[in-house]
Amino acid sequence: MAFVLPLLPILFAIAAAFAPRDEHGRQRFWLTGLTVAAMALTAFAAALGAAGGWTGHIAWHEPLGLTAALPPLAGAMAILVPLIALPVLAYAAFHEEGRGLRRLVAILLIFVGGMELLVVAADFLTLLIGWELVGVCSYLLIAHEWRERENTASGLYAFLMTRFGDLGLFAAAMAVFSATGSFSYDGLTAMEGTPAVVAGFGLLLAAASKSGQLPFAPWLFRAMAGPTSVSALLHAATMVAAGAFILLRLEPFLASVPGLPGAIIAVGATTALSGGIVALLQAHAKRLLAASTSAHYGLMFVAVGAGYPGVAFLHLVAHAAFKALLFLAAGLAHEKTGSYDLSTMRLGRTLPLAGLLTLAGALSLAGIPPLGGGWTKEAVVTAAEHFSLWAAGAVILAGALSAAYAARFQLSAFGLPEEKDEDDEDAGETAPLWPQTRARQVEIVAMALLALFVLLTSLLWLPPVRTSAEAALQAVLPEASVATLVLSLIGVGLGLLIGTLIARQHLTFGNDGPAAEAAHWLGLPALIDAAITRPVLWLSRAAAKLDDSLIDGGVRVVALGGRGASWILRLKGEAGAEGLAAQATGLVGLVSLATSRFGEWLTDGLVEGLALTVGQSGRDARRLQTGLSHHYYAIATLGTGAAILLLLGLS
Amino acid sequence: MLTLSILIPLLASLGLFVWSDGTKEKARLVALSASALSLLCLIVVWIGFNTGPEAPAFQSVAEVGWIDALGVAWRVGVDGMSLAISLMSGLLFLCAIAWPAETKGRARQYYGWFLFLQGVSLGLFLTLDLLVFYVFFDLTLVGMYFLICRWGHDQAEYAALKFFVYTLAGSLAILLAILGLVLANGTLSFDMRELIATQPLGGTDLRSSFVLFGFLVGFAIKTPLVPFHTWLPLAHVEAPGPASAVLAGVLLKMGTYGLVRIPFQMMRETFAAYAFPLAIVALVAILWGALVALGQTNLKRRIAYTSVNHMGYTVLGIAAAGAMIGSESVQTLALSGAVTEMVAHGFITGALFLIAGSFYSRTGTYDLARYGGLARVTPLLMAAYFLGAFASFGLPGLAGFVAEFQVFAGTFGVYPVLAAIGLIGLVVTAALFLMMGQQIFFGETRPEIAMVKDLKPAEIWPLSVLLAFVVLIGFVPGGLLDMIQTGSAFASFHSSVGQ
Amino acid sequence: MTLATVLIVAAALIGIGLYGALSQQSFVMLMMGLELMLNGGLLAVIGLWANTMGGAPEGQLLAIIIMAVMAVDMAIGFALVTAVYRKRQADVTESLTTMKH
Repeated sequence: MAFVLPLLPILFAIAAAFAPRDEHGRQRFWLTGLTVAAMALTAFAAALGAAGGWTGHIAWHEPLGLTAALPPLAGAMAILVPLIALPVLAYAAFHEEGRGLRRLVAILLIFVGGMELLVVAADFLTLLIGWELVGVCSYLLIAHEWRERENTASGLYAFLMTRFGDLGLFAAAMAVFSATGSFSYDGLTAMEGTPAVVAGFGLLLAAASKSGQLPFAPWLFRAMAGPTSVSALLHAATMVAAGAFILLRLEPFLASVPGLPGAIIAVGATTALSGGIVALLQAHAKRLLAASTSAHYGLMFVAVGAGYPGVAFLHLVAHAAFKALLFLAAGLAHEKTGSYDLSTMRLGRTLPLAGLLTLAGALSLAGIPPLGGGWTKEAVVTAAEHFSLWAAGAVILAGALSAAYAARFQLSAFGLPEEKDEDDEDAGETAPLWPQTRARQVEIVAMALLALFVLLTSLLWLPPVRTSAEAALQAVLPEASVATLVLSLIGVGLGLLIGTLIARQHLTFGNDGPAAEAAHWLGLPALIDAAITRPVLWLSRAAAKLDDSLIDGGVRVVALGGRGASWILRLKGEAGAEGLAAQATGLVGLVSLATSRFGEWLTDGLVEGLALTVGQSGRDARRLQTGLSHHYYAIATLGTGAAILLLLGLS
Repeated sequence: MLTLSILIPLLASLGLFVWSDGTKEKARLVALSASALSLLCLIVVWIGFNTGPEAPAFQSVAEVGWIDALGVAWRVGVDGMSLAISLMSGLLFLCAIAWPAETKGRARQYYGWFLFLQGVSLGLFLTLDLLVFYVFFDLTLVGMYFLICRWGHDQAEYAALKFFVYTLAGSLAILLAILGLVLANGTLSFDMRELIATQPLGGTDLRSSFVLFGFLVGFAIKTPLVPFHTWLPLAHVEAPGPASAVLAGVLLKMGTYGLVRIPFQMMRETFAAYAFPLAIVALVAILWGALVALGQTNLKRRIAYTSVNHMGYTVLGIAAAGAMIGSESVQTLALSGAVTEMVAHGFITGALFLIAGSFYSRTGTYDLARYGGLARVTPLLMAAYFLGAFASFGLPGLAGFVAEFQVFAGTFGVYPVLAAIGLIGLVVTAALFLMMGQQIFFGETRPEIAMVKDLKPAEIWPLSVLLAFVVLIGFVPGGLLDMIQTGSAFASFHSSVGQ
Repeated sequence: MTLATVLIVAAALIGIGLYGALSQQSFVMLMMGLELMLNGGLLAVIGLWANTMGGAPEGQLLAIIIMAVMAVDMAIGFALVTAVYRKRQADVTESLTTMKH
């Protein structure tokens, strides 16, 4: 029964393929209706399933089979995913380009279905299926605008990066099977020793790559090549959330693996801090949000590592609500100004209602009470405090950074234009609150829905709501201490101040000066492209000149390495990681070049050499036949002598 | 029934050779119906196939005496493994014959050789007699040689000769090993059932090791494993599309099928002693195949090298299953994965090579650099390619995943380190297939190929049949796994479970 | 007259014959070398026979057969040489390469 949840969106995706083709307007209505119905139905089914404790089992052949279950956290997640996806998909159906819209919507629906599958999964096989399905959908979505080679390269980059992490999941599944004889989650708690360590760290690897943690964080930036709604869904409720979700789903087991909680917290805290710094340096709206996504999932990792999956889940909920909202806002701003550059926006007057709705999201991102993001972040601080003071300090610092870039985003994107702009004819006038066109209206309604979610999460500040959430999720929430709350609020205040300062005084901060390297580094995709395509070019161009191309390749890799090193020096954190990734890609290209050329030559050569030797000895043997009888006598004599010697030797 | 499924294509092929005035259309029709009839016979066997726990080791057995003095007889019969593989082969042959091929004015001969190849391939999988097995093993070379040589591309003759000589050397090693094995048995008999029951050679003495080594080298050349794989890319590049599909989909399986049927089943102890080196060779094949494939600029060579990679998974699973380490369930899973990989790889690579054939028939080149932006003009071709590619690098919901997941999960219980290293192959194959797809289909459409046509109906239905099975196995592999795990190949696991 | 003496003489005959067969270019000389070698072999056979079998008739028979064969072989050989000389004016081995592959 639980398999209905992933199946529903996928069925609707098939229906989306049959949407009318020609009439432009009708197609969008069709798709909107379809997606809203799909998501509402899925959410409803998920609510029923969570209440009814649905399970499911599809037997393949023992011990292989798919099982599904909806324990409290998974049930809540199963409801959350379609709820967030609903406004985002409706927005997508109206906002995105008409070309390929059906394909986009269909894949988005499958994307949600894959996510639901991995949420309801109760064994590693099912999890892996959902996990990979989500991964490949993300590839197709990021590469949606396939006419630009750079987009498809970005999709590949993101896919390969996460696929590498998937190997951790494969390893975990294999370890669980070899230790317990089945793939079920149930066996996890009984595991110990090496298999448990392999499974635990494998899960961490998989989760870190999916959730955009260090060292995999750069793929989130490349994922920005996709349409806005894809980014919104990817960051809020599907792909990226999968990593954090699987950790909090299997938390009791993770806590039992020696050294693992510390590792999770270390990964989470480093990502939270470096992600915050990178986000603050960004003047590109979507990349700012992407870096902040890494940072916030880092906070969730910290909470899981500290042993509070409930806290991590609530932060995931709050984050899903505000991050989807902010991405949709960024999409609107992009449509108005034609770029994602924050310094050119200031749309407070042209998009007043959107600005207002975004404000709720931004405040929640900043972690300001009484918004939901504020409470969950404080809860993470408290949870981290239970682990160590250092972790708590890191979280508080990350919170301050979060406040800073939230302020920068809100004020730059939807702040009021500066005084001198009022000379312009229409800039001075505030646009009407309620937009005129149908598309704008749908977009605003979608954003309003998400803003409503954000406000709903704010209810967590109320103790009765909190206790009922605790009961529903069957998870323990920590009690906040006053000292950390005060410290944290001071941090948030400072962060707001810095963010406002940047937004008001240094609009283009990150476009020049030492932070310019950030902008420069963002132009890096072209270089990665070169690292991938160049080996291919070598192969076609220098097939005959093996040595030349090898030396050439070496030189290029050295050059690449030098450039990579300089980026690492210039930009710590994610910059370095992306540079490393570039070098690694180059290296793999080189190795494959070398193996294909040299290795093939060697193995092929052995065989052909043998054939040549046989042929040559045949020719040599023929030369003995001179036709001169005395030569034959001589040979015969030699042969007889050899035969006699052999006989003597044997006897 | 099984004999019939072997004889029908052979007789039809003979008929095509002597029938002097057949047009291309008629010849194609004859070939199609003979191939379909043969498949039908197999399906009848399948319907009567018992997958219950009391199923005998081999079913639908038929035996006719031939050379009694040597213990050679016409014996046919199937267990789950050979039934699954021969069903796959029959279907793949049907699709390859249906594929609209460039027959260069010799349609009768083309379809005749195809039918001949189908007959001897099915014979190889269905026979229960070692000598007959060997005869069919060599006859497949003959069929393939002519298909490559006469209907191939530029360097076809050189490629065909290399293929023939190389694999013939392998089959000589197998012949010697077969003789060694049979002579070690008390009574002179080439009956596979008897040899499996008596296990004539065991232990690691010189003789057993040599016999095993002969089998391993022979089958490694056919499979092919690194470093015996260099005949493969050349043969693939020069062969016409359908012949490539059959070469990769059916002929390569003979190596791994033989590996399971003969050394794995008939010399279990010796095989177990040498399983670890074999697993290492398989691991090298996995990584090497993937890396070298990544370095190719020729579309067909790239797909060809992924075969090396995938057959590496299969052999890794066989080696892990034969190692006699770890629990029964782990070994069962590894072998089941290996056999599933054979079936899945047959469908997937068969489809991919047919697609490669479509590319060639449209553009006349396999050079990747000359492709770009085809998505606009050939959306169907793109969908088929990506489905095949996704299946090939093991995307869940498709056949490759079911196989590879089982292989890895099973191998991990036996050789954890090897399995973990082998996982890297999954990432590299993903990279190489997606990069190739992007090069061909994405970006701006190149003007010189902007006018190519999308798939024709005659191409669509063979492809969609193959891909439908890829999806079907991916979603509901239960039936296939039940069938595979029935009978002889898995008998040793089940019996020791019962004890 | 011990066996060793006879065998040494036989070996010497074979050696001289071999030298002659290998060093001489003329067909006639070459055939003489061959005859010498055969004679050496024959002498060794007779010596061994006389020493071990004590004069049994089978050994004599063998020796006589070999001598007869030698005579026939010489006759045919010289006939061939004469025929070749008439045909090609060749009486040394270098001038005949028709046996070349």
